[in-house]
Amino acid sequence: MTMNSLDVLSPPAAGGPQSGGRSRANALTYLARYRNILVPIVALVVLVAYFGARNSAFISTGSAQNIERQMAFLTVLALAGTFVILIGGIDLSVAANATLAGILIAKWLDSYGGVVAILLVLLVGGLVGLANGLIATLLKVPSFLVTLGMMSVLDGVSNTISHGGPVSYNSGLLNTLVNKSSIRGVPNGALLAFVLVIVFTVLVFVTSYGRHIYAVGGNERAARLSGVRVLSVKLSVFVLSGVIAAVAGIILTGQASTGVPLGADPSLLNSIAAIVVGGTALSGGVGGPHRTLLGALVIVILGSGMDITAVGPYTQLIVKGVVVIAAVALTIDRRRYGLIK
Amino acid sequence: MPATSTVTLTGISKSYGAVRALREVSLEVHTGEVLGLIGENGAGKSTLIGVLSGTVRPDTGTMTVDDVHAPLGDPRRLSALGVSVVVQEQALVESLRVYENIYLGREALVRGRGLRARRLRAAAGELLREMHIDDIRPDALVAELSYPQRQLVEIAKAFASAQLAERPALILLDEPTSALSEHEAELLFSLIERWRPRASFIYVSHILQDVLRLSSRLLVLRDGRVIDTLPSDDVALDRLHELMVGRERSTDYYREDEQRGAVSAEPVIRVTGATKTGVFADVDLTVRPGEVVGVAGVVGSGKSELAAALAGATRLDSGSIEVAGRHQPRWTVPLAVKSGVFYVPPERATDSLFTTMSVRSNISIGFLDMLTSRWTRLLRLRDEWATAAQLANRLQVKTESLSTPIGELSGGNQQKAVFARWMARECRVLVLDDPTRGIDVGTREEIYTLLRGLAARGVGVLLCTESLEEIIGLADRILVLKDGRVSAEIAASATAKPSEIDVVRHMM
Repeated sequence: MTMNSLDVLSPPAAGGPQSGGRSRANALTYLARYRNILVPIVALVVLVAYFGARNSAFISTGSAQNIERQMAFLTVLALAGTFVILIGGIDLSVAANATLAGILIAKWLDSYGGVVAILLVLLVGGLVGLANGLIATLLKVPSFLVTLGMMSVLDGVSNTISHGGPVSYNSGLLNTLVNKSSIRGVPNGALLAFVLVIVFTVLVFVTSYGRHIYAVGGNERAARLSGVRVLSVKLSVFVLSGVIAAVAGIILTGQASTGVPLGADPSLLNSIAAIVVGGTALSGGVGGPHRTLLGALVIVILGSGMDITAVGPYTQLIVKGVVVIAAVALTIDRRRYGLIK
Repeated sequence: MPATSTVTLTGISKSYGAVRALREVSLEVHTGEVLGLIGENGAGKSTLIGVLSGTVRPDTGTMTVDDVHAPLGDPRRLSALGVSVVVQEQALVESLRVYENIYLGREALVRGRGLRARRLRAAAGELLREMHIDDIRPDALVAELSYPQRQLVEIAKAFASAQLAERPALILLDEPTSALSEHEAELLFSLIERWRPRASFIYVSHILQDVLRLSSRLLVLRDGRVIDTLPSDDVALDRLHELMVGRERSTDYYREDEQRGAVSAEPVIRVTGATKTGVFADVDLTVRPGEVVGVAGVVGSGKSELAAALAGATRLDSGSIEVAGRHQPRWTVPLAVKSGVFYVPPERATDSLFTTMSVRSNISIGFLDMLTSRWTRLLRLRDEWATAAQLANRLQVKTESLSTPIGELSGGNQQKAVFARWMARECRVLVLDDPTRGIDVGTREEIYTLLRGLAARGVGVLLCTESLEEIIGLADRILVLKDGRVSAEIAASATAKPSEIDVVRHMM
């Protein structure tokens, strides 16, 4: 079962297609069918239950808030990568782009004022994405290589701007936007991440632009031959990725109360892990933003759960790697589609 | 080394699903002989060459080389027995040099003094000289060569392999001249003449004059069967055409009683002077409402590319396209779709299906813009579901549910879903490239019925297909392409259908 079909939300086939009636699939085949959504959910439940049992402090307000904070940043960062992966590419520059945005917002917040600074930072993120997209599509350089190079370029740029040190600011705007709570117990940053997931899930499933994204990822040639403007879909997806990465950078700087050099970079692998664990295939055309939210939750809960149960940092790395591989092995129905192209 | 050698095939059959590519084919070829292999597109020539060279493993049958059983389906061991092959799809390694390619995998067999590289380079140089090819250096990189030059290297490779075999070789040539100039083709022909005493050849080409000139014997294939073997002196071309085609045509199958022809004289699409360099040139073509225009031609005649250009999928180098009276200088697929010109491309898996996506998404991709609400810009999912269900029903797409990934459907049902994709829009022209490839008989009939119904409602159809029978049965008018140019235009109204020979004559 592919997740690009909104089976749950749609009415049953009116009149039904030919061979009449759905087959009475038994529970087991249903499980097999929906396993790519079930595996991350089951993983989540098991993780929460396990860490909760090991240390009761895990299920506490403090711990929840900590998880929400981490989740906010990682989800948004992973969202940025999700779209490029959906069209069958990959964006390795999302984290470096977020770092640059984090530095720039800290630099510009006091001098330009909140709204202008945020808009400018989002614009820079979008331009970086556009550059990625133009090089990948017009010069036909694989997105893997373009964004690998871009990652290095962006790291250089943001370190030049920050002179390699933290950038501080006085404005309280980011603190309000990211750390304060409009809903009790939920930091605004996490709320924003959640809203973005909903907005983008609607975008990919209930707009023709979203369908075109899946079409390009599923079979680019067929998409072109059935009238999809492949080039503009690809370019816009790279731009979108850049803008969302900038949002992630702003959240990070808000949480740290300072612009951190290389702040988001270490999270690149976590964000890709979140995407893949959620069930978005690197081959494109399968998955979606809602899956990325699940994946990010698994990664964050795993990390903070191990922190709270005092698992050593080296062991944590090993466990995380094993979980990513196991999740992917269980999730993707490889008889049907390859994980990578 | 024995002076002569005989290769025999006995009772070779091969099926791909329901399609029987070869049925009980037997043949024999001796050293000193050139066997010409002829037949229509899809008669089984390439499959037979595949069996002989080991890339296709037949379902039944045996092969012997000098009364010794040969390992079918094992290209390496067959090549050691002296079978070498030149095919249309080139198999050279671009990053290696010419001499390295010529002796690839057989380096150790080249004897002589000095370092291996020098030895191979010298041997390759000698071979190229013998072929009278002086514009290819043995140590040139294959990537730097032009397409025809590569074809010559491919030929040199086959002859080199024949040279190294322990016994007189069998050299298979499948359309070897398709990429060559006349002069280069002559080089190949004289090479074949000179090698005749020490090798046998099987020569496949749609240029019948070449086959007649080179071969001593002809083998005619039709529908995977050997129809006849005959000596090639004194055979009239017409007789060959007749042998290659000659089958009964059923008028019911193609609903010829429902064939009405154009409903209006004003063309719905008109192409003038269409040229794509090296593919087709100066093609004029009109399709009127309600008319089915067939484009016939052998593989490589440019018919498929012409269809793609009409659908906006490839750009013309020169020439103009006019749709419903309006000149279209920048004709693209999105524009074509907006103008009601829809394309059903030839390769379902690579050109038209999103295999991981649901049947519903595969159908609605053709009319998402019509499902978008004007105010919210969101898709009306209920409408989408209902329309897709309705279309699937109308075209009898058999699927468990509309959410089933389309990859799980049979080829016929997939193709019907591809047709359904365009049926929600107002259709002016359907551009079809081999729409029934690999599809069962029942579904074909359904598609023919659909086409007749659309034509009756004033839709113009451009049909380009490998099957002559289909084109004659369906079309009102047939355009024949030969080497990228229109060689004939044949009327084919329901009461006066041309015979296949009439069409084939202009194709080759």
